[in-house]
Amino acid sequence: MNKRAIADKLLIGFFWVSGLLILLVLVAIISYLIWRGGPFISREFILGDPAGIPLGSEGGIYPAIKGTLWLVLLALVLSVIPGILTAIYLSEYGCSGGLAEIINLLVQSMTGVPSIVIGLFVYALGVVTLGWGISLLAGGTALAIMVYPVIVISSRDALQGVDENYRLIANSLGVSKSYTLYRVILPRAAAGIIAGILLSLGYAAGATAPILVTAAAVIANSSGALFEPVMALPYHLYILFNEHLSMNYAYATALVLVILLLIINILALWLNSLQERINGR
Amino acid sequence: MNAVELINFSAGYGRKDVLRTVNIGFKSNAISAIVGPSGCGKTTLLRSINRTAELERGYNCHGDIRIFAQSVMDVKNVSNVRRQVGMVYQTPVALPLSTKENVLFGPRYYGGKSNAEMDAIVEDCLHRVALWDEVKDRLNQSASQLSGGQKQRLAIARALAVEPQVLLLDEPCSSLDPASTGLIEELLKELAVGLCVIIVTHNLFQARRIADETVFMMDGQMIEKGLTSKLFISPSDEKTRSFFSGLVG
Ligand SMILES: Nc1ncnc2c1ncn2[C@@H]1O[C@H](COP(=O)(O)OP(=O)(O)OP(=O)(O)O)[C@@H](O)[C@H]1O
Ligand SMILES: [Mg+2]
Repeated sequence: MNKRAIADKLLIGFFWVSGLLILLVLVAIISYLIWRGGPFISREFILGDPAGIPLGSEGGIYPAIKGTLWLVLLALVLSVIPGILTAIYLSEYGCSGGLAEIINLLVQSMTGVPSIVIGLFVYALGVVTLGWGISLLAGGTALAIMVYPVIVISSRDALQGVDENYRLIANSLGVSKSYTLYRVILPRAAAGIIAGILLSLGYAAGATAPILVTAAAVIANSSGALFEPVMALPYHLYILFNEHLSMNYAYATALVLVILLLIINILALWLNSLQERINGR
Repeated sequence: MNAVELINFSAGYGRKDVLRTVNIGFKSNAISAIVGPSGCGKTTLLRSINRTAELERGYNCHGDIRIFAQSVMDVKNVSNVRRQVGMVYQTPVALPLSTKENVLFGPRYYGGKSNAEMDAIVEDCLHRVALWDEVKDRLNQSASQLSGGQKQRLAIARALAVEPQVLLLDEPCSSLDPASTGLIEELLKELAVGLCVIIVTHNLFQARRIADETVFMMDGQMIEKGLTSKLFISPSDEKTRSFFSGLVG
């Protein structure tokens, strides 16, 4: 065996080991959560309201699940269309302009803003100045601002991954960009765009900081009313843990959250690999 | 009258000059071949004619290009020029649509036709590129399953569907086998009746087989142009002679 082949083998071995390590950490986290939280997951826990004294030490987490779903839904409603439109501009229209470069830079910097800062910004502007109060609307807005750059970047990359030849062919026929976009480019990039949306959905569902000061309440019925506070899974978990209300319930809540995120992420991964297969064809 | 005429036409990307004061006329109802060393500006020339070169960053040009005596340089709506001048590229690419929708990609955009007329366009264009018999039973299936040669003929059909007066082909056969190449050469000869066909090729035999006139380019300039039969046998320019002998002999 020559040197290069040995180097290859070593490198592949290294990849395997690091891959296994990551898998091990993931399996460890999930098994620990199952071990500590699993026994407390029941129908009442998923579908019941918090109960007991102090509140939350018994009963269920249904309003927190509902609240998280409302928050994520609102965040997506607010961010998906602007995000995709920005991505389309960056990928299809602003290729040679200075404006596109500025937007790219802004979006890139937005990903670097700590989520608690976004929360404080929405608190100052929405909760206080505009008088929304601690509310679903404020939390959804904060999460929307947080996931917007993620959606822009993933959609932009999905669009840019579409075969450049299609654009060339369409241009040579004198066809407009919007027609090409609608008939060829968007359908071609759809799987990648949806995968990015799902990833940001998971990102929003797990985020605590942006909703901490904008939307979350220790107890609320999470009806979906825009100007009322909501419960949320990550915040509920934080309260259970921080106030020592119930360690058992904290682990059970964490397990529910992790399973939710896992499902979302696996779906996103599957869509991404689907997109890769589409691009390769 | 020439179908396409370049008058003192120069073009480049950024500071780089690619075409320098080119004067060429291309006849209608004929096939013209453009040959020349790699990088001499053939693709840039073709893409200048249908005004897609300007999509490239830094592209600039001056001089004039006329199609049937009409300047294309100051046409406001470039779509009109591109529609009039079809283009087929080196890589055979089918749009990710059905075979039928590939042909109708342009016509559907321009609109104004009934479904029956659209169907007629599909059949007519596919007949003209000798593809109809091969695909008539799977018009609604994805065109991605077609072979390279079929895709390239589909690309020609797609270009024909918007009724261009000029058809540009940039090395259309360079990735095809001899049989597919032969098929395309035959259909180009038929298309040249009623159309101005300009083909860039690296295959000098191909130019000899199909072109009525051949243009030899080098370093962004037209060196020599003439009847193919004459140019290959007795080129008057020394550069043409050495290029032909280097590649053919
Ligand atoms: N988009 C671009 N930006 C900058 N320079 C370019 C661009 N496209 C082509 N060029 C340059 O312009 C010159 C001519 O290119 P062109 O593609 O027209 O040549 P060609 O004759 O078609 O070559 P080939 O036979 O290899 O296809 C080359 O030197 C090339 O590097
Ligand atoms: Mg070329």
